[in-house]
Amino acid sequence: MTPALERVLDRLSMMRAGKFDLSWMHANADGWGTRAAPSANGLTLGDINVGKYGVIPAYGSSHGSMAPRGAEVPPETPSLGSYDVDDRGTVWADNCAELYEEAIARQWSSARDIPWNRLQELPEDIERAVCQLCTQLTEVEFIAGDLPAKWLWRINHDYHEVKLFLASQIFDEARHMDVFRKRALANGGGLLQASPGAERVLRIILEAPNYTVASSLMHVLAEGFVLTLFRHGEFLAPTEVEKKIFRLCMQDEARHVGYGTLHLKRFLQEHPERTEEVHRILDVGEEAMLELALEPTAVEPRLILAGGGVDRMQEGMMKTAYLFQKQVREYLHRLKVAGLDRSERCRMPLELPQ
Amino acid sequence: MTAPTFPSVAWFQRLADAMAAQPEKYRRLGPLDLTLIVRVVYPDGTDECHALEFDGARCVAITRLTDAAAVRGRHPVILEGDYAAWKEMLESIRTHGGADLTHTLNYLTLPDWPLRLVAVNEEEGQLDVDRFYRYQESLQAFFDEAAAIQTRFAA
Repeated sequence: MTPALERVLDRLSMMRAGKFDLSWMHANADGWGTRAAPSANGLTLGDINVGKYGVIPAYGSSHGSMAPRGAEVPPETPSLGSYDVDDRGTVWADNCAELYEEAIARQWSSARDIPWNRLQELPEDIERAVCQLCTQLTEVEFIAGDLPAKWLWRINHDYHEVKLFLASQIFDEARHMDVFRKRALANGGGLLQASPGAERVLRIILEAPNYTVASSLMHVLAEGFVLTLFRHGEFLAPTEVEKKIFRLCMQDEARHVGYGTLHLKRFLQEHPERTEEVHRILDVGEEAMLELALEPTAVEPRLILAGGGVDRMQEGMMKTAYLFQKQVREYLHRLKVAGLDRSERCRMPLELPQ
Repeated sequence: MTAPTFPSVAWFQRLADAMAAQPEKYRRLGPLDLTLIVRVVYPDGTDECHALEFDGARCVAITRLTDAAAVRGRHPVILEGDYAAWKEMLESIRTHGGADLTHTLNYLTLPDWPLRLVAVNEEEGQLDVDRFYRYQESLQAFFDEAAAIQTRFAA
């Protein structure tokens, strides 16, 4: 019999004899007596951040375990050895608890909530354009699942709000990947061509050297652009089905951008000396995004949808050029909110040359 | 019941009442935390502003403002456009039982015409505008309640 098993059996014998430990009942005395009250949206993560439970430490606990923030942690608690992203400034955003609750409340199902039975047969060029757009979105959307997953297991458990929000984001992106794949395969078309340019952008994001620069690239730059693309998608959508898809995805994406913006703000407040690090990664990311935005597989389907057919793509260019300006303008504005002025440094033109 | 005039506190209150009467529908759509300032610009250049304060699954206050800058609510965003654009949107909602494909809030605001979103707070502005995107389904459902309201138009 192993020592561990012996200890377990000894304890069982004592319990049978009526000798219970019960020391846990007197643990964490200064955390006892808490009575968090629900707000308008029910009992939220923000509502329970009261007293000692609401103190977000500048550095995560050094015990390295999954012990909940605010609990008493026995000294013999083993470290799990993985929670080394433990500096508040490198992960925190003041809106992460709110965004997590919002994500949970606004979950939707691509099987149930999209009116698939209202798909209509479309002209072939329009169907091909929709399918190429869906191919690319299926390809890129799960970067916002893979990237948080790459860092999530390293984030200290004292920042559980961040971890929960990122978990909700991974699920959002799973749904985006599934809904665009479904649309491509549901109306007589299919998946078309994958995008080398997209893969280059994805690699830059995945290989970013730390969480914050990865988040700046993904949440603020890439998802900011995709948010506007989703808005545009609803604008271009040929039927009610795609319109609904884009509108629901837009809501999700706006949450991710909201987290990224306020995370970057917090990071720059707590680590102003690292501003140049963010600038440098965005220099690289913006060039790759611009290259991707003008790749035929990315831009041409949108020109077809915007113009109303393959023979009207020139008309589509006018509308798409305006969208590009809006993407860049909103992106720069979000950076400004975060405290990063890239108006002079942005590698993307504010307007596409005519 | 007398048909309320658009825009007016009474007209927006009818939408708010419809929202309050369907708590499960709006709870499923998700909570809001936003002050939407509806600014209607008349052909003669004058305008009228109403602040709609959304909290949770309800529109909790409706106020007529002297001007858009007078708003005091949380996360204010102005949704503005010419009277004719508002009227066309509402008539479409009335005709189709909800916004048709070319009269959704997102469709009308994306090109910044005929409706436009304007941030009020310079510091947090874009984040407040992003809330409009985050709550899109709820806001669309709110305006779609106009389908069941007999509306008199001011001009």
